[in-house]
Amino acid sequence: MSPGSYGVDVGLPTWFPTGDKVMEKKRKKTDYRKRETRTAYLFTLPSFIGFIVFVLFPVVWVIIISFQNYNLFTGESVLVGLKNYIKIFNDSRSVTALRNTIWYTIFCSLGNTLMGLLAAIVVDDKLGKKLSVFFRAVYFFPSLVGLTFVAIIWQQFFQTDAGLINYYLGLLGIDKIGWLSNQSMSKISVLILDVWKNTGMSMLLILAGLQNVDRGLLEAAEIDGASGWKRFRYITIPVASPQIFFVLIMNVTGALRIYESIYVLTNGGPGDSSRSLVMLIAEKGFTSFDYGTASALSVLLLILIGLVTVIQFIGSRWWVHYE
Amino acid sequence: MKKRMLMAAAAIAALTVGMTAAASDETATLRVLNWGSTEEETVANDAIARFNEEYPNVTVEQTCVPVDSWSDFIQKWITMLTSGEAPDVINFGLEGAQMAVSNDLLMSLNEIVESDEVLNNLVENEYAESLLDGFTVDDTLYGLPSGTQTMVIYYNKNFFDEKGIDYPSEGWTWDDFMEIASELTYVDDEGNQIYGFGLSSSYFQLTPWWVTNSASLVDEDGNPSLNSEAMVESVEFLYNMVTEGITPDPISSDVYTMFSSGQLAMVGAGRWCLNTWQDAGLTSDDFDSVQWPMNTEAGTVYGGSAWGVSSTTENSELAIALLKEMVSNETLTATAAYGQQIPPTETLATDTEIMGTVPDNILGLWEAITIGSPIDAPSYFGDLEQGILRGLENVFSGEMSVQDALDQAQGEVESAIG
Repeated sequence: MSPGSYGVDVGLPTWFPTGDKVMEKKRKKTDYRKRETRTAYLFTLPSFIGFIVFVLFPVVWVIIISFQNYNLFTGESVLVGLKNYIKIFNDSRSVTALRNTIWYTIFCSLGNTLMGLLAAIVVDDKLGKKLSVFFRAVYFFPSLVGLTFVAIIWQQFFQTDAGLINYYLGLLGIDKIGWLSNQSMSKISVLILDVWKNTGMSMLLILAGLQNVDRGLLEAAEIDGASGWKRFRYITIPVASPQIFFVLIMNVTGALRIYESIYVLTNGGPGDSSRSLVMLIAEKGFTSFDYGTASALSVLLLILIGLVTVIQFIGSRWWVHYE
Repeated sequence: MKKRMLMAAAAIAALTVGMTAAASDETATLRVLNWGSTEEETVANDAIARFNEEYPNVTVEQTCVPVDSWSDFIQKWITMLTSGEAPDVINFGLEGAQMAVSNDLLMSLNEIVESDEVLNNLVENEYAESLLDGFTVDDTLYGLPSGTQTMVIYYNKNFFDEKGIDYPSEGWTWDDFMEIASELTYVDDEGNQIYGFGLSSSYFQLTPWWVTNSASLVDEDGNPSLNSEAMVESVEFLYNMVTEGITPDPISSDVYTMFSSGQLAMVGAGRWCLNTWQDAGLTSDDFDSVQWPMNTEAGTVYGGSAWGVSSTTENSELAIALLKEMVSNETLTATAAYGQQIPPTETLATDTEIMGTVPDNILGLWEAITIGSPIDAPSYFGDLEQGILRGLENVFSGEMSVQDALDQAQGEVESAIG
């Protein structure tokens, strides 16, 4: 309704927004927002479709198959309820694989994150600019090496009787170590390879956080008498904590899904001593063609990853500081 | 002159028309699933080109996958089947034959072979009978061999000469082998450790040890028999090699490189490493081969691959025509010339032009195939292979006794196959 509609000329300037104009403007604003929302949906549509097709649908499908006995050749399936899950819990191999996965999750994620942090500190603070660039490339290089070459290099290094590592240990008077043939050493060998291969990526990500640290703040703390450790503990770590947290999340979920490093080095052996859950899933699915059990194992792994991630997010409230 | 030219042109035109008429005008698409290296893919492409000369309107799409394990290959086959792109012609390993047949993936070749003179001659007179057995299920032939592999013992003559030991000869026994291997395990004058034998912990490479002890991983009814008495005896013999230090660590050692670099006196292998060893400088003066030592019977193992036709093909006549080209003399010769596999026919496998002359006893490879047993490859091959290897690793790493490890492996395989 406009002021003129009461029959009184209130003498408002022509530019004054009358009721109709206000409504019209609101309508235009609403139309604009609708258009904007529509555009936003259109932009996100491809990734949304990708998510539905490549993530949500396979996950739902895997959950359904985990309750079935699925024949890969004929595509026929029979509902078996919780049989696949019961089979997993009664199978000592699944328990061994779960125990190994937890071992990898603790040691590989900590190893990758701490070594990445250490390497980031060294290239950020302790080296000159040219050396810093050089060592960044050196630390990152293993991440670029192809899997086949990684296998060739490390299998040669780790051979018990003709390996390079045991040769040099022998010169120091140390007995041969069965890096790949001793069941108590196989996971440690995988850990060494995994940290060697993945530290570079952790370093790059943490380095981005370290470079956010205000140099002035560090200098001020130094003038006030703060030791190197205190500056690191109370300034560097809190400022870089979002990046360190991100790296930790990536490394933990990566370690829960560890496959490649084991596959190229020990193939899960000797015995099952270095086999992870993902390796067992691959074996059940692609060697035994037992898709039901492989899917049930995948669902359990999905729940495990979800739980660990939630715990990490809850725990992060105490040490991660967002500006 | 002009008249002659016109006549010549007319003759060429007539010939061209005639040739075109000879070529089939059938239009179709065939899918080929192959395995191997890029060289072997090229050999197959050449065969496809020859097939296309006769069938110019047939499109042949080859998928060639590198094979680390036959389970991976079968997975690829299943992926193609389930995605609606089922292969028509397949080059499958002996390890996958039973599984493919039990799931009705392959067409019987019996009638095709009987009705075709060339194929009939190949099957009746050229292929080793033992080799055809590997691709025959219940008297039905499902594959025509394209290449094969076996195991013999290669020995370094220099070490034997140095120690004054006679070269091993056919009919030698496990006891002879142990005695020789023990004598050839020593530290040389330069302080290098020499091992009598290089034991590999791969399925194919280990199999001759139980074959020559009349043992098998599968019993007559097709059930797993990993912990039979003869198997336990075979594995105890192998573990004895490890504890006696006759062999380097079987789990981590690259025995083929160690043999070529002069760290091993003996090693078991097929044809696949001969090129690499010759590239490393080994000649007939340095090494030779002998049949596998026996305990209860002479023998060894053989594996291989064969071309077959899918049971689901919609173009069976074209697929069979392509199959014939894949096992033609030209294709088999080209595959053999590449040097990895042993040709599947006696004519090619005993031809030194193709097989070479290094080592002296190169033709012993064909003899091994004629006395060999096919690799144990039931329909649950993947579970069997993984189960026995896990068991042997448990033994070689000293974690379990032979009996316990094989009992556990037997239980795991039985559980996996339900």
